[in-house]
Amino acid sequence: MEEISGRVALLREMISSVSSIPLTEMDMNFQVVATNAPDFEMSTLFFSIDDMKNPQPVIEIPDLSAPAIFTNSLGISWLTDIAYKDGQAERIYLLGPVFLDGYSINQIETRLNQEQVSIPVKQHFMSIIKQLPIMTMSRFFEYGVMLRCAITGNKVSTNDFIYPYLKPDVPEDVVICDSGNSAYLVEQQLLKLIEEGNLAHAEARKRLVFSAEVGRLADGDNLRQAKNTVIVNITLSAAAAVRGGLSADIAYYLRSEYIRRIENAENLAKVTEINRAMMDDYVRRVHRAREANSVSPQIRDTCEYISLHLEEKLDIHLLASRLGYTDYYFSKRFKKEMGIGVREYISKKRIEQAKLLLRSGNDDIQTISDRLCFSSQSYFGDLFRKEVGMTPGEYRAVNVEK
Amino acid sequence: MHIREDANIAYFLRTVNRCAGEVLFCTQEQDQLNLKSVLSQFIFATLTKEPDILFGGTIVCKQPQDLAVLEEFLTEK
Repeated sequence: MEEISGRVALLREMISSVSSIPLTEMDMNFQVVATNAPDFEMSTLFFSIDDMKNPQPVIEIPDLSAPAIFTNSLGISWLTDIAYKDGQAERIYLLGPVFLDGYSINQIETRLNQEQVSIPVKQHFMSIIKQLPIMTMSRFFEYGVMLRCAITGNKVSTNDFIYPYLKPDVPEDVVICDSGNSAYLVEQQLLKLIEEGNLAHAEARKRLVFSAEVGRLADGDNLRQAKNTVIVNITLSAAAAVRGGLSADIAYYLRSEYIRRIENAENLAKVTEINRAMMDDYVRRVHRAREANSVSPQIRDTCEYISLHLEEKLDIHLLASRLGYTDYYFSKRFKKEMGIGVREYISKKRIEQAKLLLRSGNDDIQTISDRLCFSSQSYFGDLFRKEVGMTPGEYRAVNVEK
Repeated sequence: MHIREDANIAYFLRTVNRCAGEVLFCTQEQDQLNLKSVLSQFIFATLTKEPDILFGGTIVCKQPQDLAVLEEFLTEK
């Protein structure tokens, strides 16, 4: 344990030469063994308030496999890690407190003005808050990687960092990309994996995603910055998935859905969770689409065309002439490759689209029927019931109930 | 009621969260902190550096039964 303490002490000294973020070593009774925190009592007090209650959850995680990140509702963050000896936790390390941007301090000041607090108390409080260091999230995470290395001698990816207040069965990624040219390379490699439908994507991502920021996309607001970064990622991923063979309508439907979820995400951890789920989802879908593709590029192109023009008149002659085929040859080839006739395929796709419109839109059933070029509402209703097992109205009602 | 000078502030604030009603910290300077609010808890915590304000202020429980919950942290002096 002395050897670890020595390495951490060296790291503490190195970090303190460039930053004022404290690094504290405690025994398992939370007694300080070594620290460079200027006011450790206040830091501990801050750590014990709020949704975090106390550092207890950290030591309740059996065999902490990576540093754990805590961020309280004032935007103050800590990173903790544990050193084990013979399987027993022996030391707790605490990196922080720190603000990961200046925006949180401004927010605190704004909130403070809404409280019934006298000027001297306000000034006193803000003077303590303003003593806390501010650093970028990427730098903070890099220190976390270094700390883990000092404790265990092993490298850890920021993807492996733990957010103890999330469900334990949902491992989290970190929403960070590199800056500058390397960001471009990482981005291209990740997108290539999506395009290939490479199921080893998650593993590869751990190796690829590292440090820094994709660029300032929201002044000062850390959560907004993360959301904007992921929205860019979603857009690029959707395009990569289409290039990889996923139908454009599915890819873009997913894009809208994931952006909606990102906008509703309440914290950084949820944003990272959605980001990871989004990328995995695209990879799986592209993989499935590619596996199923014994279909020729011409017929695949036709399917894409149909997907994109469901709200226009589509007939065999139009589709055949796009490929320079006769109507007869085209119909025969389409059925041979797809196992379903062209008209039936178009109908199925339109019903799928109708389901989407019923779920997510406000158009009435007649409008949807017209939009999707069904000859009449009753024909649409019959076809819908045949495919889905219920009427469009029932389908919408069930969906609303959910 | 005032906060005892030997009170463990972190433990006190956690106990406040268990109270049924609001718990206020009031000072002569007209500060009024609702100690169930997280921001107020932080402000209160920083007052450990200003003992005159911290121990000169009064704790007011909106629900009388909460006084018993906080008894070990409070003093009448």
